[in-house]
Amino acid sequence: MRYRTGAIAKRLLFIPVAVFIVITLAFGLVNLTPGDPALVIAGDLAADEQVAEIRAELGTDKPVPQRYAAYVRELFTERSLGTSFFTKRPIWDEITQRFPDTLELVVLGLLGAVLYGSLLGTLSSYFRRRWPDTLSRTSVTITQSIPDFFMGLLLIYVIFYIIGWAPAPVGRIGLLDRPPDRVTGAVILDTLIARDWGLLKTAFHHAMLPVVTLALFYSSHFAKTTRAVLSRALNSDQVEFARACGLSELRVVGYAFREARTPVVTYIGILFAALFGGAAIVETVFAWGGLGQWAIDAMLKLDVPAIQGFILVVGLLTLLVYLLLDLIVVALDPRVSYE
Amino acid sequence: MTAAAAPATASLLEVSDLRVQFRSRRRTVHAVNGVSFAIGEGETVGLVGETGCGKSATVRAIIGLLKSPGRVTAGAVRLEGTDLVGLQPRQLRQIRGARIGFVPQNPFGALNPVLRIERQFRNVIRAHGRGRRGEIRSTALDMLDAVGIADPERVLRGYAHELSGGMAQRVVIALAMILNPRLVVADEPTTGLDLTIQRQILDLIRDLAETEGRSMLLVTHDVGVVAQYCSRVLVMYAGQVVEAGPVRRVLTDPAHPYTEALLAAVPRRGERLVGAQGTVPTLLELPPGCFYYDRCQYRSDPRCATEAPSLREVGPEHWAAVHYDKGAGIRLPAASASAAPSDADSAPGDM
Repeated sequence: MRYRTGAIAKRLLFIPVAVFIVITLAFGLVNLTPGDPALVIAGDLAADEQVAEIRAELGTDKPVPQRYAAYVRELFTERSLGTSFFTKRPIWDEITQRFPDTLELVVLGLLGAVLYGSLLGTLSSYFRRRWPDTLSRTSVTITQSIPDFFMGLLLIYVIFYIIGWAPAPVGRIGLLDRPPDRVTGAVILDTLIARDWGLLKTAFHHAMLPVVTLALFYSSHFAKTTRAVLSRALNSDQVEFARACGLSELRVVGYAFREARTPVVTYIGILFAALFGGAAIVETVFAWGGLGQWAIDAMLKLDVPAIQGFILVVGLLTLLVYLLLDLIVVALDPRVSYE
Repeated sequence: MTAAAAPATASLLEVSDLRVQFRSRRRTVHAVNGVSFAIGEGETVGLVGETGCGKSATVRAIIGLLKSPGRVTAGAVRLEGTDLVGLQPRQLRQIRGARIGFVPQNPFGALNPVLRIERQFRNVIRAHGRGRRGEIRSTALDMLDAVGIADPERVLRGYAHELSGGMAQRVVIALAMILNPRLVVADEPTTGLDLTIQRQILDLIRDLAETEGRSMLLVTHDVGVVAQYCSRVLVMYAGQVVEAGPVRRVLTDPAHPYTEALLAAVPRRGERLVGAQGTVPTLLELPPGCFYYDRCQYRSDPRCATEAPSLREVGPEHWAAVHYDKGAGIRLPAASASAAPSDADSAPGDM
């Protein structure tokens, strides 16, 4: 335990350094790449003076170091991510408004991916070279070779357009539905809080296809990881001894699965962080209105503060998730100690 | 052949003409080729042979845990009259752990790394529907005490990686014997342990078997261990039992040339170490004659190359799969000098 607390303390000490790197990267990625937002805002027909005026207004006429200093100062003294070039709203508000939507999508999608993927991987390794294995591997091959946007469109075409089981991909709820009172910002949670069961059903109905798209697409990662680790574990001495002691097969697989737990949890953490930007295409396909969709939009418009804010928030979130991940892995496996 | 290698008392385990094959698309490995033996009540039988001779496959076939693609293709394994080979997985599961205790090679590998030891005891006891609520813990504590764990409470609370090698093997033995099985199968239980601890563990297994009148099959490649801990010995070669009999007789007066070679390979002070010549057949294709033909120093009988010898009685309760007769005086002087020393009673046991 002594080693563990020491290791965690060391890990925490690293956080400020990492935060500074993320802040700088967020700035650098946007400001050192070519492209002039003033030109985008002014449009093709604007005169040079007009463009210069807009540049002055945005502050992009100043040299990069000066802009960096202003950005960092604003961040720490005013706790502000700046305002959007286009909507003139504070970036922080834009992000917090959309964050819960993406969070819901990512959590549900990952949950589906983990459950489906681990099930596939477990069947695959337990019934190695028999038909469940073949079936599972076929599923993995298919889902990982279809791009996520195409899978989304395919599901919309088949399940909405042909069969009619899913509603139209118009967002969180129907176009004519009144959204629930905003408490957490997450539609499903808010309908739960409002006890609006009809709307909850609608929300789940609308979430079905995007969640299934994400779940199917990312299930292959979990299926492959589970299969690899579990196959090894099922051949291990501890599993043989568990069987020799007369434990039931379910219990034996449980023993083996405990070895697969750590890599699966690690994958969950990594994908969770990555999906806040990575779900953007699925969000766009389903008009989800989440963080990723907003970020893509901002990038296309060269809305510098918005892109900076997005990179910063997702970067910090990633740091946080990785830290939690380390703590969870330590808690799950008594053997792990970062010496 | 079933009468061969029979114990003096009523037998608890009876293996007859057991055959195990590992079949893949490209090739078939004949791992066990007609093994027959029996173990009596309270008897400790040693199973010796070099790596790859089919010891492990025989043991796994007995407890019904052959790894794929291994399969029992013929023969029977009778435990108190019940043939385990054709049993449903569920019935077999109830026998494993409860009526046959298995002590594996590697104690660290055998324990679950992320479950507390107490949970592992609980799971084993529960799997057989034994132990009432609240009793399980005390049963586990008693058993840990019996295997010589100094602080059972602490061990129960802890994890496998906190134990030393010797302690881990004690815990494994406790788990294997917690349900008081009549038969214990120990597969090289001291491999990988320190020499001093090896002896303690073997003493412990023997004591636990003796006090409860358990029978034991002790698999080892160490002739010294057999000499010290077993009453009878089975010598395996290329998936067959080539010699069987009381330890003293087999070790002092081996009837099979392979046993002789095995004994000659035991280091002894002041003597040149003699290893067995040649290598084990691949077991992909079984030779028509004696499996030991290529390595045999005594091959003389015309049948040696064409007909596989079966076990026949060469002395009181002493069986060997040989065609030639030692009584006819076909022995090589050099080999016999080191293979059948007069002081063999004690020598092979002292390592």
